[in-house]
Amino acid sequence: MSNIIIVKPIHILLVEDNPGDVRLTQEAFKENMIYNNMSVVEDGVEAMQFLRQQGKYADAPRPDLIMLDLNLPRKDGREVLSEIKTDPDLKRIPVVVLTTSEAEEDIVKTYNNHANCYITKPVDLEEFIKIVKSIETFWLNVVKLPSDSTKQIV
Amino acid sequence: MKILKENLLVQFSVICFVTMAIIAVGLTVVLSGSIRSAAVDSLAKEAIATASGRLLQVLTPADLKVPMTGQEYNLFHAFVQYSIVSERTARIKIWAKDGTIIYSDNPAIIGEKFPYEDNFLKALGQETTVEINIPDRPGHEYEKFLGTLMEVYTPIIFPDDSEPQGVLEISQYYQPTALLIAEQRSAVLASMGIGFVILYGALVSIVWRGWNTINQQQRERRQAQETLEQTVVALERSNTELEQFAYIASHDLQEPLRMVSSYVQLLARRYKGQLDKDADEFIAFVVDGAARMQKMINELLTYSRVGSRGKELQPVNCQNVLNQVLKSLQIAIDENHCTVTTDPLPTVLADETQLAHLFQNLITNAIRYRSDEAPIIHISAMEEEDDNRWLFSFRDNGRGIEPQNIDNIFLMFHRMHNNKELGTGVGLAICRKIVERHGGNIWVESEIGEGSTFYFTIPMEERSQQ
Repeated sequence: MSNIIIVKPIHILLVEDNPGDVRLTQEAFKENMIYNNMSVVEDGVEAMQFLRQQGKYADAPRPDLIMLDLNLPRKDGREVLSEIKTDPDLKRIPVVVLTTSEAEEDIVKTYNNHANCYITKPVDLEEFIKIVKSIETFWLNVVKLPSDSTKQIV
Repeated sequence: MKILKENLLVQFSVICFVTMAIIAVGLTVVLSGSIRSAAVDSLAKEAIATASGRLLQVLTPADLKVPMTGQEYNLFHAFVQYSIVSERTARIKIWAKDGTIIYSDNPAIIGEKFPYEDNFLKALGQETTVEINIPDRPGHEYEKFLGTLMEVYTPIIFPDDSEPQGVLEISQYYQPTALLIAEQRSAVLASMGIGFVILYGALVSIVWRGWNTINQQQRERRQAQETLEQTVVALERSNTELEQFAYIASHDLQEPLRMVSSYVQLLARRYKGQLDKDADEFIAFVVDGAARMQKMINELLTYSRVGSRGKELQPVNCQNVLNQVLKSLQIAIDENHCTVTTDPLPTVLADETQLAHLFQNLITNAIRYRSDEAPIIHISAMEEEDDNRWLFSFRDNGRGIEPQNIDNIFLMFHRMHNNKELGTGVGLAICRKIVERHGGNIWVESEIGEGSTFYFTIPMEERSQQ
């Protein structure tokens, strides 16, 4: 009997308010054909509700990776980052900040708040697709995630 | 006191008046003195002439040996009162050769000896002396009203004699002369005053004109200064606004640009070959246009950041900067078989990042606008001591620049060649902005077919506009 490796699909939470960028990110992930489930929320308040499995998100899965834009309505991405990384339950989830800003202060503050990495969205599509691929490869294949992630080997 | 310091006219007037006052006082004193002695001399002569003459008619040498008393005294005294004492002459005394008072209007001192009296001795030595006194004798207070008294001592010399036999002391009133002196003094002062007023008037008009001219020039200069300052403020404000505008415009344009660019590329990938050939061509044009737009916006952003993201000027080793730039352009240099040579480069006050950018743009241009020969680029720096600056030159053997374009190439988005090949057109505009931020100038000399040399200056001390 061979070992059956059942890999549950990776859950990615994308926090992004620009629908154009949302679609682009989804398409880029599709190009790479890694099986995953992506949930999308459009602002910081929804993001926290999702992560805390509150209200309409009571059945929401715990994401293995969060991709976070900094400029969000209702609650700013920087605040969301801060809340995630200070929450004892949520802080283990890797947060990839994916944003248009190149500002030095943003980069510094983001790392100060313990983001796992900071990526500036490129203008070129090819570049973007490559970046998304490397995010997936690195965070979901190369690194070891903590055991409460959904990725399990049975 | 402030008006004294500021107003030339007032200063001049004050000096004039003070000087004239000093001169006037000085002259008055001097003149008075000389007028006085002249008057005194003439008065004395007059007194002596009158008294001596009359006395010598009645006196003999024998009379001068014995002090007068009794009847002799009374007779003589009456004679004196009658013919010598007047409104000019108060009294006389007669002295013997040995200092004995032979006659005086005060009988008490007749017979007294004063052989050591200074004036007496001088007179005996044939020197007429004058002593001016204010009378203060009890019983003679009225004499004060008549003015000052002068006492003239003159030797008594008889006609056949050559030696004085005695001394005559005449007390002469002075007042008429005092009036004379006062008159003369007034006359002198008056004429001096008039002269001074005329002189002052003439000088003041000159000074006044000069003063007005100076004032006017100062006013004009101040106005020009104000205008200049206002212009500077307005320009700075305009500059800042432009920079902000350029920055915001290019920064905010990134997002819609990204949408256009990314989705059209997605379209191209997803549907290439599935739509008709026209669609493929159309998509290709869109993709290309978006790419160029992106490049231009990035360059615009960079251009606007030259001023806003500039760092403070520090000493920078140009040789090191150049080496790093050459390293980062290694691929392009190798591909084009370039030769880059340099003279020793100095250390200058600069923003290192911007200097690198400047070097990079110039070298990239030299490669891009090459001729068919392999590009040869020579970089050098010369010290211009007179103007306190470094003159850098980047010489290439490229295709050169047409004369009509030479002034325009530093403008933003100016193109020499058609369309899209060879650069967006901001590179040299950025170069110029960087050089000007460092307080220098940039220009080019070029010949078609021979090559171009780009020159720029960097001042030795900090003279930049931040």
